[in-house]
Amino acid sequence: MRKILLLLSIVILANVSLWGKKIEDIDYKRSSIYSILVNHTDQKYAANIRDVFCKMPMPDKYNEHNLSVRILTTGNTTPNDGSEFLKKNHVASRLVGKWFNRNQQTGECNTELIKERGLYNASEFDKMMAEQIIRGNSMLEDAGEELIANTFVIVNDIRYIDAEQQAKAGAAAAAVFAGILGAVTGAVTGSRDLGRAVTGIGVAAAGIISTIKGFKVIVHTYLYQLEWNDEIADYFYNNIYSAVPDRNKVALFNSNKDAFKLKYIGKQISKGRDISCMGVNLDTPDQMIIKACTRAIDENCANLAKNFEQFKIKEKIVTASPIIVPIGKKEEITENSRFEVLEASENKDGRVTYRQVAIIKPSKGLIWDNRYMAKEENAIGSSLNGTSFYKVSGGEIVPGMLVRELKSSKN
Amino acid sequence: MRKRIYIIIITLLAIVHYLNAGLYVDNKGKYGYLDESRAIDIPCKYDYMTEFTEKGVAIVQKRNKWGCIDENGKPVLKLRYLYISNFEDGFAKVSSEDGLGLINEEGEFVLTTQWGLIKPFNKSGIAIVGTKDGEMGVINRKGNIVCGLGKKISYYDSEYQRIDITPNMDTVPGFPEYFYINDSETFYYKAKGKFKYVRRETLRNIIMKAAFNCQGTDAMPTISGWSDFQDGIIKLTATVTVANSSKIGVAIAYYNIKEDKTVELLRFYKYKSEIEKGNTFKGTDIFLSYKFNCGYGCYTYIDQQGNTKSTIIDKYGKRVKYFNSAFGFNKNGYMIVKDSVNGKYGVVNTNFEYVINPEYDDVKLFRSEPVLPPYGKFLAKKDGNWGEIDINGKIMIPFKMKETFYSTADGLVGYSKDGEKFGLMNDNGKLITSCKFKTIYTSLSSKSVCGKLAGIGGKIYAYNLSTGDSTETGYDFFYDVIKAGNDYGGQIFILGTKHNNDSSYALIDGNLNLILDDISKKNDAIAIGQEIREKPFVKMSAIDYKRYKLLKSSAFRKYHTSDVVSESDWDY
Repeated sequence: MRKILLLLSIVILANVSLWGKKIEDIDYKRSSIYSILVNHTDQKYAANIRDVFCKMPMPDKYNEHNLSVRILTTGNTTPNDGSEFLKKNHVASRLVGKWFNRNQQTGECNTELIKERGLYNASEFDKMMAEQIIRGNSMLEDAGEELIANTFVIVNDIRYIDAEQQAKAGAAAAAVFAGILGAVTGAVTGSRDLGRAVTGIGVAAAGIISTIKGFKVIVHTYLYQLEWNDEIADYFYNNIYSAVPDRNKVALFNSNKDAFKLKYIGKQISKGRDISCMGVNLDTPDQMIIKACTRAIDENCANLAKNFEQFKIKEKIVTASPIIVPIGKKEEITENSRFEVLEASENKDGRVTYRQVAIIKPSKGLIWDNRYMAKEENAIGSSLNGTSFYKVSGGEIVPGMLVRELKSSKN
Repeated sequence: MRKRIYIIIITLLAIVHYLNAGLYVDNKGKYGYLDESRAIDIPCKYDYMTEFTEKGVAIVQKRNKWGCIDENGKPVLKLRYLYISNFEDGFAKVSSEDGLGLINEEGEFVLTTQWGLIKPFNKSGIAIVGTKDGEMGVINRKGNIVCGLGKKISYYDSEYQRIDITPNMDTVPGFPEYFYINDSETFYYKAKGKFKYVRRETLRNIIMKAAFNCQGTDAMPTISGWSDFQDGIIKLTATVTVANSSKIGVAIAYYNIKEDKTVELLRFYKYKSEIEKGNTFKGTDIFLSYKFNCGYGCYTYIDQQGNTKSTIIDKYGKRVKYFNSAFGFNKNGYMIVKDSVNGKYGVVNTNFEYVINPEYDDVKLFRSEPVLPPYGKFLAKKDGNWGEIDINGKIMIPFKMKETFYSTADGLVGYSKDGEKFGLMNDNGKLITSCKFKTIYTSLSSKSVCGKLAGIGGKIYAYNLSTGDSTETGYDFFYDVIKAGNDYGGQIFILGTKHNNDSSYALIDGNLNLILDDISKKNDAIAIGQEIREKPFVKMSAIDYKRYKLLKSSAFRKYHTSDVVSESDWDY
């Protein structure tokens, strides 16, 4: 009996400690984004789209790295990827400049932003920069890999979908289709009634489309990544970075801006989904526009994150039983999504490494709807504060671990 | 036997993963509820479940259908809804195929699911709702419509940005139980817990008829806003132009909006109601009126002979007293008046008895307040000299000063013995600085002031009142002071024209730290001071400022996709 009690105590204690166990929080570093609009000035609502763009919230899983120029225009009806503009204006060099708060006139730099976003020990970082220790410094390498190299430009080409025009085109197509079908069926059956009935369906369909109260946009999002490797980093730290005014370094930077480049990663096209007008005041077109545009850009960012490894986001597990993670429909999570659970650990140099410990899937019907204005429309799951997951395989999961979506998900 | 015990223990531990305040989840992820006393025992059968409300209702979800149960597990709302949000402020939103609805913590429908928009309740207990067709209305917490449908009003979206739709709904500052809708010109108010209303048109017609003997469409009055309520009485001021009759004027009226929503006009006064067109009208310069306090209103006007007159009226609109001039009662029931007989200033109580005799030639109030401040001190002039007294007649600053003024800093009094050099005292007469400033600029806290030192160049000196240190700022002029947060020592000074460079402005905080300099435009300096005043202290360099400006301006500027943008438009 004693043995039983002893065993019981051990099992209970083991479980109690398991319930309470938490890994030490290790903050991961978010990617940084510069977001640009390509505005089709000849299209309906172009001015409204332009007005709302600068008010749109930055996707909350990223750091804002915007430069002062945000809006590009084109009179062309075809989507523009912004590559010409980015190259002509040496945007890559400006993004690097922003990382180091570089003064265009004097060339003075500092590392305040890197320290802030990288959560580094400020005094150690300053000491390292002051001593110009470039090679072999794990903190600086980590900053390069985790922060600067994860700087992205997203060019959002937003075009309005004219529902009315589409409705007319749809109605015409339906009428033609129905007419042909009516003629054929009439010929076969010898009756015109069925043909009339089908035509009626076509008109009803057009009627439904034309009464959609909503604003639809199609957004092409082009993703570029700042190139940052050892060679570029060495060049920058040795020839450009200066804690004090330095005319020579300014001249060198200005004459050699092409040393910094952006790499095209890929693009994503939103599906131009219908946006519910529930929770929206229909008398305020800007509210519908900002809702449609924000959701379309969020959708593209989520799909880019799914498709391109370097743009993937990680998020922390809030509770382990049930497993709840603050990601949801904005990140395009479906019941078929699969995520790996990562355990982060920090080595003695302060660099963070990740190890997969489990695979999880979202619980049916418990996906958080965190899309823009979902709460206003009382969308399903909008007040959940996180998506519930269940474990498919793997070991122990504790709060604070990170999750990352697996590419093989079928959505 | 041992094996059985092991199995039981392990099974128990496996089943109950999560035990927290009654809500628990089994190893299949199903939610249930078990409180400590086992009075509530809901087995794990729901895909999702919330805590019980104080009224004993929990939201549950099963197979993607949402509903509510009571503490016995019995359905309060059947599992048939698309979604039910968590309870917030006593209500949860319900979604069905038909639209949005609202339930209370008992699971009862306050609004059935037919709406397109339901905003949260505000502090007054009202919420804005909208139909799926965009018609708007206002409901109370019982779901009753207190403001009819069809009215389109404003609200704040999730980003707290005001969505402007006409008409606007506004609350009266300081009186959350009152709000009005501009376009419908209806004033809503709460009496005995019920919402009632009075139409502004009703008030306008009364004032128009009384003041100008006309009403309806031939008049084009502009009502210059509602005053706040005091003693249940509203003060309404109107500037009126009457078409086809060349009449123009300002009218003021006091109304008592009764609980049965009838309106009683207490008293109105009109100023030169028949001024010919083309005459300069300066009504606001010469017309004063005070909100009700301690049961009395007061209005001051210029009579036909050009003399100032003040009339005191009671709650029934009856004129009860006249003075040459009166400042209106403060909340403590004291009022500065100019005696009708000797033309001197004194202070009366609500019985119109002098508590300070009328023997002063002039008076000045702190911060140009409309009435005597609650603590009852004021500057007064007697026999050609200024001093300060309190409501009990106690002399705080002796009557020896050629000039005095209240600084906007709390309790500080500027004084001059010769009328040329100024110093500062606190309002108990304690010396802060001697008379050495040619000019002292008003400040907002008692920590520091800016001034031009008499006889030392023309530069602005910042004077720290705590330490007595004065610092030359290098700037020639003082322009403004902005009330700011603690990070800025309570204030931000705007100075300008550095070393004869007429395009250089700076912001200096109340602790005399430079926030930002080399700002090229005064308006920019004021704008940036206004913007950062409540934010934590961030020392901003000129380059940061340039970037700040660029981010504000270039971000909204358009550039063609093939443009090479000027370097000056880039921040980096």
